[in-house]
Amino acid sequence: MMRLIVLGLLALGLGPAHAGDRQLEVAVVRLDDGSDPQAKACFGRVRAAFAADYSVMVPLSREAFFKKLGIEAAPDLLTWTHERIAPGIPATAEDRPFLDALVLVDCQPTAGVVRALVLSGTGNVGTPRANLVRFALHRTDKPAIGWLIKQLQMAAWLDFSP
Amino acid sequence: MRIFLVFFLLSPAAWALSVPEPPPTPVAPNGLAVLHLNTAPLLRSEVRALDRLAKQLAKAGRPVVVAPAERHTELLTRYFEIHDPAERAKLDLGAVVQGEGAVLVIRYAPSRDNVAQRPLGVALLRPAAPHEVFWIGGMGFSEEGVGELIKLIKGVWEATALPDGPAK
Repeated sequence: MMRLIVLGLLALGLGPAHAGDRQLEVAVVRLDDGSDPQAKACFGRVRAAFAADYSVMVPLSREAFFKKLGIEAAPDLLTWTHERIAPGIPATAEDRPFLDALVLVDCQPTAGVVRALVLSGTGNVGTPRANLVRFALHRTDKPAIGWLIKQLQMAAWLDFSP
Repeated sequence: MRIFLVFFLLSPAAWALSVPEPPPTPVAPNGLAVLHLNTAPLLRSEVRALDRLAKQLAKAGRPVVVAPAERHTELLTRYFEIHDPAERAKLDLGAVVQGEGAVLVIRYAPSRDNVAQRPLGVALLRPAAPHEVFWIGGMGFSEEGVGELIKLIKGVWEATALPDGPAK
């Protein structure tokens, strides 16, 4: 009997430990131009980590994002502001009213740096009220990228509301 | 006039003027200096978080010295306000990273909406140029999230294994 209770408690604890009962709606956008296989692999890790988390991946390609912003190449990501990014935020469908987070990632393993920017806050991502967190990590080895991914996920969940 | 001069020399003001600035806090070669840079008073929970951080890292064999940024306040405030990495690299961070250990800078900014959600800057600097290992601007932690701050710092400390090896 005791075993059953323990197993039951364990089973209850297996679900994701996030607030609320809705998955995070997140768009993760690659900002490198795709020509460097290492950069591609680096971004692939970030994207895969979000996809494996308790989240719904909102599709948004680099090309579509840049088109909405009216640019062809990415200027320095860390200098971007709410106002500059807002036009690139995808419109959401009626049955999916919120974008909870937008994650922009610029992996540059050749230059030894990864830069990222996260806009978060349910219902506020396209507004000046969104959290805007900027990251610069001058390491591109696996453990460092793994650490960065955790920080990006934490930033994406800021001000999440179910 | 002479009496005034004697009184001045004996006064606390004269002593204050003559006391040299204290030398930088020594940091062990494998140690970490944590500088906190605040534009608002630390909350009790934040003080406790820094204490916990110091204890946990010390247990892991990394001596930690926690201190206010003091004479580096102006420079480090600018460091967190400049978002362009090229512009940040122009700042003289070598003056902050003296000695042989790494320096972690934590900046608590005033709250935006409430006390429990304060935008935060975190940076890890290493002795060799380029000094910046990581830089985070704008992260907000709730009261309950101070534990996450400790995890963040411990995690990057372990992941980057500074200052034992050069940044890759």
